[in-house]
Amino acid sequence: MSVAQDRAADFEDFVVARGPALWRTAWLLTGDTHLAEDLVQTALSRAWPQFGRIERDGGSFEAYVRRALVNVHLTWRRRRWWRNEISSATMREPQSVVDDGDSQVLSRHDLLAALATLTAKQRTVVVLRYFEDLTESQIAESLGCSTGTVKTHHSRALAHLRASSALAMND
Amino acid sequence: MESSETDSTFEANLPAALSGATPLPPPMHGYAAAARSRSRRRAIARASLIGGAGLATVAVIGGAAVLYEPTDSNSIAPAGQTDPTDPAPQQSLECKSEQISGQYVFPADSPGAPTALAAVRGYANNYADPPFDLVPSGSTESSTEWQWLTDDGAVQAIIRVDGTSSTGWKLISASSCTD
Repeated sequence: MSVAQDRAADFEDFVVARGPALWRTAWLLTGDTHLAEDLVQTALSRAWPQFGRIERDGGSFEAYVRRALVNVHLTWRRRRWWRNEISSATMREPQSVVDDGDSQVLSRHDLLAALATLTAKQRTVVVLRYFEDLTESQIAESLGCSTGTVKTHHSRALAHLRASSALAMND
Repeated sequence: MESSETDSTFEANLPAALSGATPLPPPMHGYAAAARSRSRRRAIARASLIGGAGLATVAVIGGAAVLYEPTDSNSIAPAGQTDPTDPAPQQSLECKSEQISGQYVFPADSPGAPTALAAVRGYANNYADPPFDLVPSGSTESSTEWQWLTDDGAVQAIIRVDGTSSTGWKLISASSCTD
């Protein structure tokens, strides 16, 4: 097998192993199944040319893809035709629920409604912090900003979420 | 950031809430190949643009007539495939001023023929922008026409269908077209 074929096979392994997690992050960022697919594939297509170099240098290709994912998403959100989640006055039936054993019930729709109240960067910070479990400095690196800016987005995002009626947890 | 006990509880619940609310991801087989394919086309397009041949960019991309972008290993046969056991769908695109119309026809005896058109999506700016929904016209059965308006000169169309030999929505082919 040639070096190029080896690299392609390694890339395939990476996507199969880490793609689902990247897709879930993309879904939380976009709130849309198909946009999440497109976002992941766009990020992968932009990261692929660097795959060999990053692997060779011992870097984290996943971190690189995640950064591409975030950047592409933020670029999309800046475009005029971005279609955000459509808010509805009528509450739909929950599509899925989370129960952590303490009667903390949250529907997928409620979560999306709450996330939709955030700015693109606030939402990204929340997803990277609480879903990806990244530190503030790692988030700052992904967003290309200072940790102070991340703290600001983080603080404001939590304030919005706490105030969200859709995300009213049984505190 | 100082947090009250209530705030701490709220924060503590967020990871589980986010994790638990996300749906199951789709199968990832085929994603890597599609990403590499798209990356290659993007590189070609950029090289063409750098060379100052804006229209050639589209010609290069459109020259392939159909660009196959499977999202998983069960994708229905792409147009242009010559396997006689899985006849290729025929498609055409016609470009008019800021309007593109096309037809997508699956042979009725194709084992991978779709039972219905699920969605048609367009990509502008050589995939640099996110997709937009296209409006199908005419039949939504196996023989399907669609058309859409765009303010961009170059558009790639992506078609998803529900197949008889596989389930789910499939990204099966793309074409580009310019006025």
